Amino acid sequence: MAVSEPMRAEQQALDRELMRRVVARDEAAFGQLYDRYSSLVYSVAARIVRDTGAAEEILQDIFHQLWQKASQFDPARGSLPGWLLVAARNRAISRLRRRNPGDGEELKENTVALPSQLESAVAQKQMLGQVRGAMDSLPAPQREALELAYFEGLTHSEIAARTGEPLGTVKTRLRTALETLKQALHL
Amino acid sequence: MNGHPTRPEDFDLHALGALDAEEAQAFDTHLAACPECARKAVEARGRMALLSLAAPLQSPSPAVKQRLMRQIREDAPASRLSQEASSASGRWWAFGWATAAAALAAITIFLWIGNNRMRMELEALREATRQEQIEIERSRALVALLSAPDRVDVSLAPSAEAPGAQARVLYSASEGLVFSAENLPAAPEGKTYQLWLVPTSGNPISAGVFHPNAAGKVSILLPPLPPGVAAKAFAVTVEPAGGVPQPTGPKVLIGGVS
Repeated sequence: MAVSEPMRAEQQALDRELMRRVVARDEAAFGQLYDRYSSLVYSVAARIVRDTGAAEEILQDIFHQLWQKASQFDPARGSLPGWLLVAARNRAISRLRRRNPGDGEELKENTVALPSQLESAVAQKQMLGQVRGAMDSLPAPQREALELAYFEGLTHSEIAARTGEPLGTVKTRLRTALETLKQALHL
Repeated sequence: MNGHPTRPEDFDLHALGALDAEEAQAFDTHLAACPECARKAVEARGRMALLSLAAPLQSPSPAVKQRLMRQIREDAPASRLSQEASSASGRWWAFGWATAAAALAAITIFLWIGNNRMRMELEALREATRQEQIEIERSRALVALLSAPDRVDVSLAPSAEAPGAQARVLYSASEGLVFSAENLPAAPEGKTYQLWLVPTSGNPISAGVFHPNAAGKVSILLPPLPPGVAAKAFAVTVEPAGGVPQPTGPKVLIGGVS
């Protein structure tokens, strides 16, 4: 990882401090957290729903929930950007598939341990480049299968139905794609 | 799923949501019973979250932040309440009742203290009023005495017991008596001075016991006396402490009505 561990710890400490202030109803701290992560959240939502207005609504909803349930977030158990990304994806996919967003986004329950840091803008850009590079390096059928799973929330069977490929092939493609990504990203 | 997931990607596929319903359910059942696999599932969620970064980076409109900040300001008090209520409604209510009970107890004590204080103040006011009333009555009585047609003004002469003493009595059979003295030495230890009204007929009547102050002065205003008694003389004697029904000790001051 290009971003050092001490720097990551520093950024996580800043997140914890901002969250502590948000719990104490500090609007300025909440604004800072929004500035740190709104682009990440918005980008995922926009990629999934492919609708600017809907993506903005999801972004607003997620941060609103963060404000309301801030006291439930345990920084010792999970990463804040990790939770934001998972929540953004879940909400966007629910909207895409016209499902009601479940309770799966509860801050205390949906713990996400990010393997690398996303707490600073520099780190976000670095990881973004690495992930995109790794995705681009995948053979097209694997990348397509992975994107259908991740950005459309389709299961093996649904991907098979969508692409017309046999279920076994889809499963193999997904597994291979994940294995390749993990190696490329040193996860 | 009976055992642990066999391949590391199983956790990723689960986190990705790619498992079909039946597989996902079996996986979840296993995770609920296996802390080690549950930990791996958390890690997989993190790994898969990174795939979000494959999305082209875009910036939201600044209007979103403005709407959001307005929204949290508008629902700030309500959200705090609902948050507390939803996460610990029982606790909240218990806290509410406990707080209410404590507040009620505090108010009760406060009112009780306030009530007591007010009662004491009221009592003090009543006492002050009573004293003022007495003073007013005395003043009236003194005015009545001074202006009484039968008022007599008697100077009392000192005896050898108190050579420098001077005293005076104003008396009216209907309006009462005023006595004042100067240069009177302190009464001997265990003794007191006693003022007597000597009527024209019958035994002397006590008009009270007294002690002069450090300067040797003393005043007796309107002591209780039977009304309508014609006075022949006034006298001060030295008597045992507390006084006596009839004079027994030496006369210190004496003056006859002329």
